[in-house]
Amino acid sequence: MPLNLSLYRLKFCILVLTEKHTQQFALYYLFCFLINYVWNYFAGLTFTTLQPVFFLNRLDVTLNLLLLTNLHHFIIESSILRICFDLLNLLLPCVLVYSFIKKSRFTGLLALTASCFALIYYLLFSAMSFLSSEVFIAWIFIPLILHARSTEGFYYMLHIVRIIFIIVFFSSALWKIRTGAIFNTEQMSAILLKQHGSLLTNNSTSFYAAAITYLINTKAISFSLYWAGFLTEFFFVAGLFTKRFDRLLIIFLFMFLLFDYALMGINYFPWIVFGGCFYFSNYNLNKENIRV
Amino acid sequence: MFIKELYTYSKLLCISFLLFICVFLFINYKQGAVAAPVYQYGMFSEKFNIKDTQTVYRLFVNGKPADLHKLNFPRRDMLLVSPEYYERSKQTNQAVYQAMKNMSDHLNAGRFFKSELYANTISDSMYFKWYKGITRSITNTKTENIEVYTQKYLWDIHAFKPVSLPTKILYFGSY
Repeated sequence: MPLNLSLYRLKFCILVLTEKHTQQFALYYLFCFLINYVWNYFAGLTFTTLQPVFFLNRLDVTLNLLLLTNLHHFIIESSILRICFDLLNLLLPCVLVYSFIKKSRFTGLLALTASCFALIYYLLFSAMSFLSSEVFIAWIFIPLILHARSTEGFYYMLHIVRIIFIIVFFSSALWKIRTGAIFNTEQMSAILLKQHGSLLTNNSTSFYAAAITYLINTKAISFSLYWAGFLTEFFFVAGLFTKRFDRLLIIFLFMFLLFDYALMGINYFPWIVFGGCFYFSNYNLNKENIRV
Repeated sequence: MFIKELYTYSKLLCISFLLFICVFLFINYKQGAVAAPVYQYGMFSEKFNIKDTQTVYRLFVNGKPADLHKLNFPRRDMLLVSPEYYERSKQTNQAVYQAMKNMSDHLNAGRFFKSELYANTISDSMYFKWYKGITRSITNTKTENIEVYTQKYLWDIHAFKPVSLPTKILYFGSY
């Protein structure tokens, strides 16, 4: 039987998920997180650097339950608490990845703590800044993958997060169909007006302002870009049926994030960490070691 | 099939996963409140038109329009979105509180929702002081006067044309 399985793998080039891959994924997550943290720090987007003084509530049940604790007022009033929050936000993923690689028995607990803390941190931070908390879902979901103690558990958690991300991405394509936005030829031009209103009213002579003005006035090009974004989102549904296109989905994801930043000025780059789910999804479980 | 494999591996994990998907579908179908980390990921799916009137926030530092194209997006947003959110928080926080209270009243939990938890404690003058600090640090200039205006604009082929008089919403300075 093992000989047959080996031949089968050789014939169909089946990649087997090993501990080495799980550790690579953990390090990739940490790398993305640290890059994002440094970016946020220098952009003034941490509690310590922003020193928020007010919050804006929204219709989010989780956020409103969190506000019952009065934590937001404590953060506004206490600089020590702000530093503690920022430090914990930085340290938890580092400790989690270290613990995961060292196979500590506290890894599961740390993963849940990191995920819950990220939820609390980014919900409060988005309420006290101008960032939307949707951008940060990666830091909530990805630690859950590291909760797994075995390669098998890692495999299933990785695929769960992969499917959740596909649904999230695909749902935004469905929203565009539902509202009819994809049939509105001036949609993208109008979005650019909305996003760059302040820049365009400043009589800016920069290349960027000229490029945005060109796109606003050339509806065919801007609408094509909107459709390209829509098709990218829509194509992700293929990931629910096959893993064959996962490498292509990584490229699509990266292009989407790049254009989102360049055209809209929205930093969705924390989502790049989901690319790891599509990369490692090609690795399968070693069937010999699976319990029946 | 993945769900079947997952069920064999762990029933609890499988049920939790399916529950998450159901909550996601429900929240997206209902189109009302969300429950983080389950959101409605519209990503500019709302219909917009070029003829829509745009309310634009404009920042003047020491009597001159702030040079925004030199700033990266987060810093630009910090200067322009913050006054907008501060103004909006005065109405929105109360409205959301009322909506959440009404919702929790149905579950007999309304008594936990105290209005003071959902209100900002900051005064306008404290906010202006804070805003002056971040403007000074971002624009890297000695800010003697800061003014923020809102004005309505319409796009007219190559440029924005104002369709209303500017409204001063924030002022900090000596003149």
